[in-house]
Amino acid sequence: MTDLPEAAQAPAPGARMPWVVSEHRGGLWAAVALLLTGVFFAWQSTPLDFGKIGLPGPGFFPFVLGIVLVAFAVVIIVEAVRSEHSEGTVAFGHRDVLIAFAAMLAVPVLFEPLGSYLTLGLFSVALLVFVGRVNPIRAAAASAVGMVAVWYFFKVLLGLQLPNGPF
Amino acid sequence: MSGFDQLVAGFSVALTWKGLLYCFIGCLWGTIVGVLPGLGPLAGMTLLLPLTFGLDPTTGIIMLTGIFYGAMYGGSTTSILVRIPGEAASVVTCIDGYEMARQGRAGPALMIAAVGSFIGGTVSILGLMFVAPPLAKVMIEIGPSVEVVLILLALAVISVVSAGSRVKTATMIVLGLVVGTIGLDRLTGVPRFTFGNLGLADGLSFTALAIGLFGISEILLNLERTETIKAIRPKLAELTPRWKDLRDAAPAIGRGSIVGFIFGIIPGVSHVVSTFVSYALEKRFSKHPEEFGKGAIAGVAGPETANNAVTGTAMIPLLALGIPSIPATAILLSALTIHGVQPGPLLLKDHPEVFWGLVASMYIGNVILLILNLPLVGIFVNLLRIPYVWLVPIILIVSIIGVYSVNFSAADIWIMVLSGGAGYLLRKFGYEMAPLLLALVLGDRLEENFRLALTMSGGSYATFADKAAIIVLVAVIGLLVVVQGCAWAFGYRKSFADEVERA
Repeated sequence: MTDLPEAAQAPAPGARMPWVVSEHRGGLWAAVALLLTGVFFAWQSTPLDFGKIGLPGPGFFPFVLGIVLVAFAVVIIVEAVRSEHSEGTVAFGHRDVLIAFAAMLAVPVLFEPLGSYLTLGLFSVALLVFVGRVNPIRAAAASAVGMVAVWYFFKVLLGLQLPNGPF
Repeated sequence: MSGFDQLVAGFSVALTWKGLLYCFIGCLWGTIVGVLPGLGPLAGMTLLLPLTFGLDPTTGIIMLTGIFYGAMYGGSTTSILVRIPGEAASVVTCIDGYEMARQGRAGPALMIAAVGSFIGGTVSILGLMFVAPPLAKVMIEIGPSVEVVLILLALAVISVVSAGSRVKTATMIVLGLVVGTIGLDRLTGVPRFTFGNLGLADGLSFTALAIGLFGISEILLNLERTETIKAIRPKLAELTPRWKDLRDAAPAIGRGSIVGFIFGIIPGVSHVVSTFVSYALEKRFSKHPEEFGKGAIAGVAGPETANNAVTGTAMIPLLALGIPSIPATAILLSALTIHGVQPGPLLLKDHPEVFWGLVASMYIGNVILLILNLPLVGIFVNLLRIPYVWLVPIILIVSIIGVYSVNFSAADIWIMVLSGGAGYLLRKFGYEMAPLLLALVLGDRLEENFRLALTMSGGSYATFADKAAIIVLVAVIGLLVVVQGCAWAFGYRKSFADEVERA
């Protein structure tokens, strides 16, 4: 061994995440979202045939599960309300996460109209430049090489037909 | 054909160039995702799942299983060298493994971890080989009511042994079950929650959901962590353990094999739990418990053996019952189903080449991993030097193409991205994705068998308790639910996550 292993210190949590919510409030939001999901499934299953209690139809299972989901969400909300004074926080809004997620959202929009290789190439450049802070020319070159590799591996080797777009 | 003949036939499948190549790829990728912090076996398997679509089922399953047990091997490397667990099952190894590295004994720690992993993995394959076939024979005789009870048992155990809040885990299970109802009802063909969209007739793409919930959410969470890691390259000569190391490690490896073997069958997070149990057991059995936490080799040998011993036995519920007990086997279930192979009691009868080919490949894979993880450990450690942001585009592009290639639909990319965002948010608030995924996989069969059992019994719920075995199973479920309810009611919050934090 030449030197002792060590992990460098990370920046303080939340230093790059501007939106900080209390665990209590965030937990409530999450539980309310789950409650609404349960209500949605229970509500949308009402037009379906329920059958009988002994011979359930297609609407029975989702309705019961929707109600159970609502019940669990209520329990979590009660727990969250009880822990109102907890000091824990959850941080959001990390720049890299937002950029990566925005870039991912663009992919399904462009994938078929623009073609897979161009879309994924642009996606790769965006991630390398804005998340990786890589020089744009270097990022473009790396992405171009990457797309050739993608084409060779997926199309030539695996025979996968990916959308070519207008080109 | 006798079991031995079938194993020989399995080796004839696994030893083809294709079988060997994909076993190697799986083991290599598994070791890589095991080494890289933030990429565990689940993300590794989901990311390469689409690549199996062009392969035959046996080769595909050989590759995916290789990733699963390969990650268990690789996870120990970063735990020992940089005190960052490559994946959850290697958390315990950080305690004594890193202490050994600090004392300049990283080599013996890595060597013992690899040897223990090899022995644990081999023991568990023997278990798979001898337990799964007779269990499958018994299961052929059972009807849908027992299957319902078994699935409920699995889900109940998952919620009890879960690492996080039990209410949140139960909520994730219900969410998985309810999301699983999207698509055509399997018994009547009635569309549910499809809103006239034919693309939803088969439900939400499992591949897209799995990659989103595990892979994408993991990547987003990792982007928040900005640690830079300095690792070291141990020399091959430094790997040799001392005689005392071997003497201390041997019983720990034996006990770890047993612990992992037993825990592998229990649904939930068995590979993680088994390491904690093994560590506690070694500390209790040790003549010098005060050495634990200060570089005791038994504290590395036991847990590392246990987490590999889980891999084979975790396949028993999947291959013999068709019920995945941990998320990794849920991915395997999905892969087999996509290939038209239904895991369960009939697998050994209808597709013996898949079962025995897999068993044989696991023996081969263990040898490959032993070779990969000892002399090449320095190369894997160097992976930690690659900036994570260079890996992100590669991983995401493979995911996107893989998800698209299942149905050739951009809608699946939407599902992947949106479920990735949802998974990221839910994980920030302490919700686990594993129970959701398992419930998603099991939901269809739970409902189908529940309704079939009632139809066959003329609507009598007594069908779920008409045999002694079923009564026992129902009693176990009831007990687990009562235990969980009491634990929650009395404010009992002790969890494995707490233990991880303490460790």
